[in-house]
Amino acid sequence: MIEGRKILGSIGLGILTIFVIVAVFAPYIAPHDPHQMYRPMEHPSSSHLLGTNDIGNDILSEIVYGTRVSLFIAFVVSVISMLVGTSLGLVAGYFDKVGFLIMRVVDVVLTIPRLPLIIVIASFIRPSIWNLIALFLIFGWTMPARIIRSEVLTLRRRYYIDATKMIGGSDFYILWRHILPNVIPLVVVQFIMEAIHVILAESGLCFLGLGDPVAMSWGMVFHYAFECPIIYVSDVWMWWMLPPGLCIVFTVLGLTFVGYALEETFNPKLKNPFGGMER
Amino acid sequence: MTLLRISDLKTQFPTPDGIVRAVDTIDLSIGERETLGLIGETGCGKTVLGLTLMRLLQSSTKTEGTIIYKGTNLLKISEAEMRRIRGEEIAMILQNPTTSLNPVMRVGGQIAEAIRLHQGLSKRDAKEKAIEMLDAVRIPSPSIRVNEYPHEFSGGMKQRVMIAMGLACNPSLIIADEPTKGLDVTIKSQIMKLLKEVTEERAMLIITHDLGVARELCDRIALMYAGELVEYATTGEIFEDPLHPYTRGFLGSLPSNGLVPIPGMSPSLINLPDGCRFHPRCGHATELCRRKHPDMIEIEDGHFVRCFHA
Amino acid sequence: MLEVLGLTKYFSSGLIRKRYLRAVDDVSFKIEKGKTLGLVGESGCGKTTIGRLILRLTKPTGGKVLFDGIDLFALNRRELLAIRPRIQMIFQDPDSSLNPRMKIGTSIAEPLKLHGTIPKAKRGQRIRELIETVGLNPEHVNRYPYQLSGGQNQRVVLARILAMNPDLIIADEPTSSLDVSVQAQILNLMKDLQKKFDHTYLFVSHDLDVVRIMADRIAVMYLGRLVEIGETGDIYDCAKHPYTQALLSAATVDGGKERIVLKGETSSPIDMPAGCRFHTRCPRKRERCTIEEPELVEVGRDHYVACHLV
Repeated sequence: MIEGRKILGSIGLGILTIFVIVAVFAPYIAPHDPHQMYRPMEHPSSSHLLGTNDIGNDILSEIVYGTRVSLFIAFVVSVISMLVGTSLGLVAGYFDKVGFLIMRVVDVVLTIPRLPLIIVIASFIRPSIWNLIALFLIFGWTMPARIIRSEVLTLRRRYYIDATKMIGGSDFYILWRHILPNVIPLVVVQFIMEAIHVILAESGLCFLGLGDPVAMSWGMVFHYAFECPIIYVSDVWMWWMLPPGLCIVFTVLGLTFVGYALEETFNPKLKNPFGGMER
Repeated sequence: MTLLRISDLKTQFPTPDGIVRAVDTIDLSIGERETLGLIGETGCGKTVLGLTLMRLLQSSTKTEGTIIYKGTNLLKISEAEMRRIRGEEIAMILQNPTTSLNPVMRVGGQIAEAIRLHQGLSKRDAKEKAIEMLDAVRIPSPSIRVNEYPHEFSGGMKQRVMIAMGLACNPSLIIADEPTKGLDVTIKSQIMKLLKEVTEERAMLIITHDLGVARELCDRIALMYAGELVEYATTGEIFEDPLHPYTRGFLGSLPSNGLVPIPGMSPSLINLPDGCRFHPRCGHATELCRRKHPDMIEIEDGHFVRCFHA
Repeated sequence: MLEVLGLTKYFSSGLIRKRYLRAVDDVSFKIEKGKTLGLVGESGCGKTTIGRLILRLTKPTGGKVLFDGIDLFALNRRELLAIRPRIQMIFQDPDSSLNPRMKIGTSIAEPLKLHGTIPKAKRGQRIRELIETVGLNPEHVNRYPYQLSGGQNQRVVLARILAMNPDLIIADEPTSSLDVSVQAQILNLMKDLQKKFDHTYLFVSHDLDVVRIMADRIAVMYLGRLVEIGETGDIYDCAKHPYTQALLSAATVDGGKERIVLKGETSSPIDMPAGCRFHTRCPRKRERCTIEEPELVEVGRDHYVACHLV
């Protein structure tokens, strides 16, 4: 079982690495400029491996550049959510009064149904990557803040916190040196969860036509394919709709595998099923 | 008459770091109405021995040897037969009553459960019996307490409930794992008084690290170190004439006996030392102890020691 | 060295109908420099709270604590930070007293780093000294707490504390989670350190056998109040309070003496009984005990008891 986790983790990491490389080196990997127009609706051939779309763009190049957009949104949202969520969670868990205020805000935000509201707002604002990112961020920080806070609440009762107070450690020092390192595993897991959520939500919004029409993400490729009536009556879906869909599926799968493997690394109890037998 | 005879018992767990030899070649016997104390420190394998007797370990553990209870080998019988033995013939009082009781089930229900599983009584009769059992372990106003939940009981009272559950089906042997651990001194006295009454009517195996408990309750004492027995004798002889250096060290490290510590610490059950397992901590260790693993020898009638120099 | 006067701590609960839990109620005692006071009582009697109050880890409700003549409760934040190194505490669970993600060496270096009394270049030397003083190996420095045993971790805690050069050490059941043979090592180490550095100890424990060895004077607590305080010898040979007598009879390992088994359990500190707090369990209760709360009275040289019967 433990070996299985390791293997899954490596597979997940492999998948993610490939996508990251594709995103970073998109100009070198993509066979064509994604905005260049060729003959529309061409079937796959040696010059267009996945054919061209209804306005003549090379589909493979679109998907390669789309990796950039999709991963960029997921990465930026997750990083900022984690920074904000973790800091607020740490403060909220350690200082009771401030914590009370922060948690009431979190409660309010969390009661709002996330995806429906995002759809509603997205349909009113000008669709652009930055607006999407801002929209995801409104909700992204709440779960990490709440989870980190509850962990801090237990951690701060440990004796080593009192012991550090006695050797003259300030509150900031205790948070930084003693509490933060112990919540990092949680932060990483939350980061992965958030990334999965953003990738799916972004694709969903694009699919509904609420994405940024200029920045072609996987979801947008999917959306345009879906809007083209030919897709229903021919084989075109096989190289136009399926590839971006598979990209989304594999990224989410890769993230999930990595999260699953990290869970074992962070939780020593899973390593040795007989540890603590005598306790 | 012998009620339970354990011979050559071995229990091993495979782990990623190696094989844990938690119980290694143990021979023991418990007579009817005898109280045997199994004493050892954290990690010596004493709890695992108790769980092995009840066959309560995970399937990945390897158990060898024989456990003969009233003529049947408990390691050979089917799981269904073992279920009948558990509770009806041998009951176990687990350590830590707080986690051993189901928090969302009434105390009476938990005692009645054991009775109904084994004796097929009706719900009402089982509850009557549960009240009777609570009364037997001296819980005041049992007919009210029977309907309460575990969190309404104090630590000492929960331990009484655990004992009541163990006694519920009138077993011939009770295995009590650290029955006084975590209890306050005055409550411990109360529980020991209760256990003393229990031991008068049936055989009992008390697993503990507390010599005071063992001295007061047990007829014979077996000391366990690093998975094996090192000394096995009557309670009197263990305290008056201890032969194994570990037994002597253990007694000497008690605060009331001068607080002389045993140097070093117990070995890990994965990485046991060659020769005598106690030699790295023993003041009398010789070349022989470092090379050869001693066997249990009978020094006097019924007094066994695992030491070359006893 | 330390003088505690009328120390009181009530915990309140409930927003509308406030209920008070009287954890510590009007407790006074003194400890001379270089001596040890053993504070004994059962769980929930307030003994741990006293330690935390002295360290100002918990806010007091009333009373005064004079440390070397300085009123600890009157200090502001800065003055408190300045005095804190001189008072240190050892907690009962060594495994949670150390940050699990910090190497042993880093943990020991932390107090040196925070205080900066020793220049960086000499820190390594000082850490080696500390490690040797508490009986650890230099190779332990690069390990994590989970790789060491409970006893070794408690040594690390002691090293950390020694790095601060404290005058007063509050030890809260420092060995209650350790095995007896290891307990003896730690207690002996604490005694050696006391001799070497002239530490003053407040030794909090439920184990009278341990306290007997460690303490010069003993204070016995019941439900937030002192019931008896005196020289260790006096307490052991002529305890006056029925509660102390019961504790003593329960603690001794030699089974010869008849145990005093108290009935019932400690009352809840929220619904405190009127009169003497112990009267609900006292074997020698009189009418007066249920009405009037006894004060500490001197019964011998430096020996005070709170009981109407003396």
